[in-house]
Amino acid sequence: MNKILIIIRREYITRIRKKSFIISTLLAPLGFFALIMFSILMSNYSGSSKQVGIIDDSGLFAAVTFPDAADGSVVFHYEDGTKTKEHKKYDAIIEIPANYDIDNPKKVTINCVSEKSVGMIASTYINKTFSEKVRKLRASRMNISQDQLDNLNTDIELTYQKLSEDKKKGTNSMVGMIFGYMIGLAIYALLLVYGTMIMKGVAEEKTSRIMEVLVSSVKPIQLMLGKIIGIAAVGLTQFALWIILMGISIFLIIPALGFAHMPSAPAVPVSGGFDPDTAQQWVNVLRSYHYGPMVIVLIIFFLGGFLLYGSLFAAIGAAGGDETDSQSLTFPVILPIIITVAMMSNVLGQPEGKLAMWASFIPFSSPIIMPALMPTNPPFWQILVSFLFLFGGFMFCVMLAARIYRTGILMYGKKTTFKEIGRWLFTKN
Amino acid sequence: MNQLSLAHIEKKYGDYVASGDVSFDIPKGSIFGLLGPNGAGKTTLIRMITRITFPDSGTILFGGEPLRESHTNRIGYMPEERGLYKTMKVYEHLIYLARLKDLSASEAAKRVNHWLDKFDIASWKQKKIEELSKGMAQKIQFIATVLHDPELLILDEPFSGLDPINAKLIEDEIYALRQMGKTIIFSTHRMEQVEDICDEIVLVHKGHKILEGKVAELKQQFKENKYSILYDGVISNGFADKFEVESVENQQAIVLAHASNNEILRYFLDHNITVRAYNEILPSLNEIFIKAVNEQNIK
Repeated sequence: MNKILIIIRREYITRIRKKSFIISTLLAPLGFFALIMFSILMSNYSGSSKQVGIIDDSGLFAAVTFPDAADGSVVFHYEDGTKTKEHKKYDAIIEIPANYDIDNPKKVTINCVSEKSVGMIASTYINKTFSEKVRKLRASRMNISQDQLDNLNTDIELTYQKLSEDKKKGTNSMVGMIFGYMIGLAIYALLLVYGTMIMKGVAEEKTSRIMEVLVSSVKPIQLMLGKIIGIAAVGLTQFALWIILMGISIFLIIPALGFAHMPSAPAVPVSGGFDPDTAQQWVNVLRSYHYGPMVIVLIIFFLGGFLLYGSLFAAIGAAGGDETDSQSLTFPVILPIIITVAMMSNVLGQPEGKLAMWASFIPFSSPIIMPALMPTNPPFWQILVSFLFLFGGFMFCVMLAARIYRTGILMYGKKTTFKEIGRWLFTKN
Repeated sequence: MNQLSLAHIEKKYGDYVASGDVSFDIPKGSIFGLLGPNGAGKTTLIRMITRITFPDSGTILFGGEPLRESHTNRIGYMPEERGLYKTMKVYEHLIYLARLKDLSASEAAKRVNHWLDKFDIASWKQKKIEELSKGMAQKIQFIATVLHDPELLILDEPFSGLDPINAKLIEDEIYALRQMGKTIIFSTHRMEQVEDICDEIVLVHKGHKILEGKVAELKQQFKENKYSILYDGVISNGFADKFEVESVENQQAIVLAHASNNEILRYFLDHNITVRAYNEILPSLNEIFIKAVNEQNIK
């Protein structure tokens, strides 16, 4: 077996077997699962049901029925103001003054009086109900029928389409942007977490002095690439496991626990302000993507970016030696990653703009930007150019890093400066 | 036949000469001492032999062929600054290092088991390296060096940090390996350690070769005709007048024998002083080194 494969295998297996890997792989989806469960339970949880009394001194609403909230969080009790003044049994009292003017609803206000705050969800529901009822009453006084009213209330949603592309496939740019942002953030996190892991691994080999034993058997470049690829494989494994475990939790466990009906439950729009139509639209957009090319681009650019940044992290680990030393050298490597993430919302806001194009060409930002742009359907030539630049970029970085690496791993006891590293680039082996 | 031949090896780091025109041969099947103080350039030479670094100029022949990548599988190197992966287990660690020397998985397993049995440490297999004492780790390190049955073994300060029992174990192993026809390079700055072990040595200082040759011959070359006489009794002042005496104390006299040995002995016989031992004092490698360096400086 090729020596580099043996190295990859060791780097991979020792890390996969670590408790910390197993724990973090299991905990992240568990946390995700818990978050979903929590939000479902929260939205499902009726809390203390608020008893709301409506004291109608004006008598205008006598014929109106006020529907209780579907989840039971708000229960209305209509009372004719003339009959009783027993207020104490209610959590909140809505007082409609006798001089309430239905034609001019802002002149005299309806008050909601309560000892304690009724809470956001309840007040949103009360507001919405009253606006609707007032609107209805006014409509009937203006001789507008219910149908006409519904018609007026229809919200419109623009459908964004690309001129050049298949016209039937409307691309909702909002969904694309959010989806792309998530992809970009995931790659960013993987680059940072696993890049640091490479750096620490190299520094450990140097401080534990096994390096010298190893380099008498294998070439430094084999050692470096073996470590980078091995750790990249660990990162991809963890990423894949997360997706699988999250998939299981979303599609199997949550429905199995009986929450399957939740997304379409009528309570959702009221409490969350999210209506099922929008959700359906999002799902449709997400379904319309070509996932095959997206996954291929994701993996290729992740690996390319990982080789590029991984080799730089490896070089720093080799130059630094003890960990504190490495950390002060890390900044110039981390900086372009952070700048890229900071640019991402601008890039995704205008996926066809100049910034997006350049960011997808520059090899230091393209590993994050290009996969993030995929949901916005970039042209094929852009992907190709981006890939070629990235390929050139990582070849250059690996070469550069290898020169620093092979000198750095054998240097002990000196504090490494950037000037020193610059000299290593030009020394013969 | 030479296992290794170095010819006109030069290596510079900037202005610093790590190795300046160094040439020497290492005969096959010998224990060869690469000696010199710290910073003399020993490690630089070893790194070039193991192809970790490369000379600026000069040639290295391995078994008569120009040194190339594939030769590294036939060299076993135990560096002075040595270490192992702390969290790996003994057995898998040895297998890993063996496989990096191109041994097949089954061959690696066979050899690892053989050596662990040989050193009577098969029970450590599943121990993590970090659980081992320094001496234990050194044994593992030695096994890692010889696992792939190298023709040339390079041991850089092999005894540092070893207790006498383990040092003896390694020493015996070195002799056994020579018996099997292996060549061993023994690099150290503690010259007294290798006087009895090495067949030949080369002395380096500040990147340059100072001396080379068989230990016994060098000792003859640098000896000062000094003799030590152990005796019972008292010697009179006349003794010091007659001979060039370096010291007389504790029933031992050290004499520079410009006179013949017989004359000196006659003095003791004539004065009826019992001689318990009479022997020539040969210089230690340390003394030879100091003398050679001084001569070099005078030149």
